[in-house]
Amino acid sequence: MSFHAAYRLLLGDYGERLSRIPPLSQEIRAFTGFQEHYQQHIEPHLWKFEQQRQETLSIMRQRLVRFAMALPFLLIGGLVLFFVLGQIGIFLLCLGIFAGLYYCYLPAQHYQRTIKSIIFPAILRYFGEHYTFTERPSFRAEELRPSYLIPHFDEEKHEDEITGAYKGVAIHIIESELIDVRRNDKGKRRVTLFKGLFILFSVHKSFQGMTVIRRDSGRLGNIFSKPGHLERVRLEDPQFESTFEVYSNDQIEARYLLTTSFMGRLLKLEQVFHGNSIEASFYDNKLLLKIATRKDWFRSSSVFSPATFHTDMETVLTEMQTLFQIIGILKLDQDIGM
Amino acid sequence: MEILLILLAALAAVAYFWYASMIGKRNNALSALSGIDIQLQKRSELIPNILTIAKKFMEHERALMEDITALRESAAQPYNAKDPHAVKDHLASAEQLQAKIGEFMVRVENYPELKSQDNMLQAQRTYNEVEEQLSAARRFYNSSVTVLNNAVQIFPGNVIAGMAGVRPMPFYEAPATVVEPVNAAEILG
Repeated sequence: MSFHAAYRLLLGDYGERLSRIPPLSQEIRAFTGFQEHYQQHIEPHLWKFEQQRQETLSIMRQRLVRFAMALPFLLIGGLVLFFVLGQIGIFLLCLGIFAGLYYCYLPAQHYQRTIKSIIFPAILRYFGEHYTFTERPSFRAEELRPSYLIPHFDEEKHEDEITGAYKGVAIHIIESELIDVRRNDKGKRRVTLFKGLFILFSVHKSFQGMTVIRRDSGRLGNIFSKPGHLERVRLEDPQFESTFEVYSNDQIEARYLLTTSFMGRLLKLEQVFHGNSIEASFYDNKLLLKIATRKDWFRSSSVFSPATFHTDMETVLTEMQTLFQIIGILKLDQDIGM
Repeated sequence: MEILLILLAALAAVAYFWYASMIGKRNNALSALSGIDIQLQKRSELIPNILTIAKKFMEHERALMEDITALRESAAQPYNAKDPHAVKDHLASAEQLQAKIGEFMVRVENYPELKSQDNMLQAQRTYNEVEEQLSAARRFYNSSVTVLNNAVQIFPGNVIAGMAGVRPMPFYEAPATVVEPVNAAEILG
C-alpha cells in the first residue's frame, strides 16, 4: 500500500467503484473460448467481490483513522523511550509504526488471498478441470532434495502452487524462496539463496538413473559443488558446456536425455526467461526445472482496483502461457527423442 | 646421490600414474564400446521380428530383406576390441546394417497396409527407441575415444603408450553415403 493510496483512503476516497461489467480486453479475448469460460465461472463472482472490496476499504480506513489518532502518542512515547533507553527507543518506535501500518494493511491482504483462493482456480480451470491452485501450499523443498538442485537452506517460503497437465504432460509449479541465515559478530543476516520457480514435468522418455544440469560455477566452484556420486558428463555443444555443468550416474543415459537438439532448446529457454538462470534435473522419471527470477508470479490485483479481475486474468493466462512454452520449446509433449 | 634417487623415484611415480591413467582411459573407451555393442545386440534382436511382420506385405523387397539378414549376421561376428582396425571394421559393418534398415523403413512407407499394422507400429517405436539409445552410446564412445587419443598421441603420453601397448581407437564416423551433400537439382529434376 503506497503512501499516496493510504492518504487518499484516509480522506475517504475509495477510488473507482465497479458500476458495470466491462468487456474483456483484447489480450484476454485472444485466448480462444475464454470469453465463455469467463461468463460461466468468473463473472458471477464480480458483484460479490466488489462488495467485499468496499467493505475491506472501509475497514482499512477505520484502522488508518485509529492509527492516525494514535500516531502522536506513539511519537511522544518513542521520544520518551529514546531519552530513557537510547537507540532502543527509536527501534521500538519504528517497530510500533510498522506494526500499526501492517495492521491497517491486513484486510487488503485477506482480500487478495480470497481472490487467489476463488478466482485464480476459476481462471486456471480454463486450461482443464483438473487444474488446482493453492496459495499457501504445504510443500517442503526437502521433497526436491533428490534432484541435487536444492542448496542447504535454513528457511523456506512457498506460495502459488499449481498442478495440472498440458498436452499430456503433467505439470507442477511452485513459487519458492530459500533463505540462508548467517550468524556473525554483528548478529543474524538472511541471505536469499534462491527465489523463483520450481517446475516439475512428467517425461515421456523412461530412464533409470539421474542427470543433473547445473550452472557452470568456474573450475574451483564446480569441484566443490560436484554432487556426491555422480560423474561429470562432457557434451559436444560448446555453448552448452560453457553455460552448464552436467553430472550423471549413467553416461549413456545422460546423452540419451540430452540430445544435441535438447541442449539447444534448453539454451533457448533461457532467452524466454530473459537470461534468468535455469538449472534442471532428470530424476525419478521427472524433469525438474529451477528458474531463478525476481518477478513475483501470480500476483493478484490490488484492493484499490475495481473487482473486474482483468489484471488477474491477464496475469494468470499470460504467465501460464509462458510456462506452457517450456513444454513446446523442450518438446516434452512429443515422442521424438527430445 | 640421495637427491638423484629421490628424483628417479619421483620420475618413476609420475610415469606409473601416467601409465595407470592411460589404462584407465582405454578401459573407459572399451566400456563405451561395449555400451554400443549392447545396443547393437538389442537392435539385432529386433530385426527378425520386423522382417517377419513385413514379409507377407513386401514380397517385392525380398532382395533388401536378404541383404539385411546377411549384414545382421556379419555385424554380429565377434571381434578384438583392443585392435583398432577390428573395431573400425565392426563399427562400419554396424553402420552398413543401419543404412539398409533405414532404406527398409523408407520402403515400408510405400505399403499402407503394413504401415498401419499395430505390431509393425510397435516394432518401429521400439526400433526408434533403440536407435536413440544407440546414438547416445556412440556419443559417449566418441567422447571417451577423444580423451584416450589425446592422452596417447600427445608427448610424452605417446612414449608411455608405446611401451604399454595402448593404441588410439577409431572414432565412430558417419558412413560416406550419409555425409555426401544432397543434390537438390537431381532430386527435383
